[in-house]
Amino acid sequence: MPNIRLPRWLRGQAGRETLAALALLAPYLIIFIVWQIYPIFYGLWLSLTNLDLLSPGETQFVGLDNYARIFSDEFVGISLLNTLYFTAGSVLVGTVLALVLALAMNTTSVGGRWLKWVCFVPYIVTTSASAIIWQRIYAGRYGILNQVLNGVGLPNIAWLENTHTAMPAVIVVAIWNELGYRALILLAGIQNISMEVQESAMLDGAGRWARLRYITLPLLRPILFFVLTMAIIGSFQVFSLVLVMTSQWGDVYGGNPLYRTLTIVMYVYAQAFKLLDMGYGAALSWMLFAIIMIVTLIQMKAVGGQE
Amino acid sequence: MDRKRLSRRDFLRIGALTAAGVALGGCAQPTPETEVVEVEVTRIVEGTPVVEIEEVEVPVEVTREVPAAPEETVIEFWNGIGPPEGVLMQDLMNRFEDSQTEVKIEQWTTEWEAFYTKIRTTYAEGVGPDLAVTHPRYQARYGGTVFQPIDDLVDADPEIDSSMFSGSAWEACFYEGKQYALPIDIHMFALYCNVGLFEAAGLDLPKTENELVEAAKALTEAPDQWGLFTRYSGGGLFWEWLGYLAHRGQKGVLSEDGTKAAFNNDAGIGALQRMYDNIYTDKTGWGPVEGLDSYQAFMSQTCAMRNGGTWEKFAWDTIQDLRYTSIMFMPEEPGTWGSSHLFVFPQMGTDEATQGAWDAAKFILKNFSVEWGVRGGHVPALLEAAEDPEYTGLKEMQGFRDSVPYIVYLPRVPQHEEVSEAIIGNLNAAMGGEKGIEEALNDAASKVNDILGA
Repeated sequence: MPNIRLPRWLRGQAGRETLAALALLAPYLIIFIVWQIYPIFYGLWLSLTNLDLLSPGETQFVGLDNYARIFSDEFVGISLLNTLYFTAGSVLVGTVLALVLALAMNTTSVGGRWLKWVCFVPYIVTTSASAIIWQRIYAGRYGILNQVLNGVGLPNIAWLENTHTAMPAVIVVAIWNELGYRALILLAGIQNISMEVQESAMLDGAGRWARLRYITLPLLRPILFFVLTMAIIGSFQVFSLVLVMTSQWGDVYGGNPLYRTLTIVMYVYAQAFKLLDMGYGAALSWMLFAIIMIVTLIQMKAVGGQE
Repeated sequence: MDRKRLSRRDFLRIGALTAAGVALGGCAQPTPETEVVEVEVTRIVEGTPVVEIEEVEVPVEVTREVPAAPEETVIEFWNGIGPPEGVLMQDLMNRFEDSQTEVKIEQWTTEWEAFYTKIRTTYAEGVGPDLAVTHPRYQARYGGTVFQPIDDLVDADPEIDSSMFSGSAWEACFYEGKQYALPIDIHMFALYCNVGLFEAAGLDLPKTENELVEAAKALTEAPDQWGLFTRYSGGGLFWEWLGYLAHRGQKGVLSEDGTKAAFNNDAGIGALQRMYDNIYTDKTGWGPVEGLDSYQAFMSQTCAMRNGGTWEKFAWDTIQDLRYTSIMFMPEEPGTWGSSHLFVFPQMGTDEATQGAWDAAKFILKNFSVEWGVRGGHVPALLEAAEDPEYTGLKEMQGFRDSVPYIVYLPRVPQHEEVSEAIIGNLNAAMGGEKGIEEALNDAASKVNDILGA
């Protein structure tokens, strides 16, 4: 039997534990590498080619042509601006509302427990179902919202067909979907804050608002950073909600009305899977990855670094 | 009592040994079957032959039963026609399957968006159906790749001939001289009219655009009743505009050779202006603010006229007291958007599968075209079926039958989706008040010309 000498870090008790950990992680790691890491780098390769799914044998290396095309494509600008609009609305407004809700839920009363249940229900409704429900709510003359408006003497609003109200209407649905989930995470953070700190502040005469501003929010910063980061990443990738709510028959890019709700992922999807320009779709995806990475790094510096 | 606890190391050992055992068992070579037999062996012992009986292990001749070759060919049929006609097509395929034993059909029925996404993305992996339903405009992009030419199949089959089919439907199966499909039907827009509302107002059905406009005004009592539903967004806006365009003598949006835009002219501007005026000037149709569901409006008899498709008949027939009919758009200078459903043979499988798909398609066309027209609402492409009394007895669909010679297909160029998007986006902008009509059509034409390389 050959004498195999293991590397130092795999020897001894610590080494055996490391081997055991690797063995247990191996199944997930294999799946992760095959189904996530490999496609990411294959996508990078695709972005440097002109792959058309209908003629894959004629694929040629085109270098950075797909990336250069991004700068002259008006729909990239349109979809990115729409995505930023959606992100700003759903993340900022949604997180503030989630914080308010978390503070309201921070009680042992029956009302607090009931609030947790009610607010979490939208999170477990699938995105497509949410979109269809809200389409009915926003519908024209016979939609629920317009019926309420008519009932108080106000005129109808074409929520999803008016260029000024379409994206805000979608943002409301996104906030409604995520509110409970974010609030629960923030609630967990709030409940982790030591009661002694709060009590000391109360003894020193700090009011509710002062305690919130000088104790709760600073100590909640890591959790807030997590919630904001995850929300931003998710918002940049918004797709199915907008697609179901605003698409019409015959669309190629979607984003009705008049591309006001066209997001970057919808545009990537149209390029790659409708127009079959896989290379350009892959380049757009990598552009999106770079943008999300930059935004996250800026966030880490501005928010996370102040710890 | 002290229980022996399973340590992590022991657990890993047991797991590894179990996995190794399973792997070895799977890799083990099968041992040949043998049996022990007694044989006589003669030996010479001290010069004398001695016969002894010995036991010898010998291979056994094993006769295994070879499974019989399958008797039926399995073909895959993909269908993007949604309900209700999609369900009817499923039923017709089932009935073909029941009528014979050689071909079995595995069906996948979905809606068009999912159908086209799947058929073009799976093509790259050599996966696809043996038979599918599609539209004429997709042949320009997918002809020769996803859709294979069928000229050989047609030439080899004396039972299929161009004279059996409507001319426009048969021509829709060709692209650049090659045939890619067999036509199932023709479907188009025509003007549905609520007969009851017309009679109550003492009006005749319109034959000219002026009569249409006047009838729409007379039948409008907003917001309770609307004279004419006019589309203001989406792909349907493009289809409807094609009808108004054709009514002004412009058949289609591209030049004759299909190389450049040909709609930013008086006909194009006039057509779009007429549609805009229907909603915002004459107010005979509702706009985005009212946001009515157009199907519900016609079914609830709050809308007197609408440009609609053959397939909408099913919705109207569910309302017992809805008396409706259809007329050409407009008889004075007819023209309307139209399309066809076509059988295509992607030929992803074996020759037997392709033959099975061909047999299925031919069976459906020859035996069920009348039923497709009567229950599906579309005009059968097979002439014999289109003239069958059972189908022509549907008087309310006369407008569609009359429209067959005048249909205008969507652009049949490889970049048809990009071209459509450029046009639809600008039509939406004009109807939404974001751009002037002439500006919108000029912008659309400029984009289309860029796409086509004109």
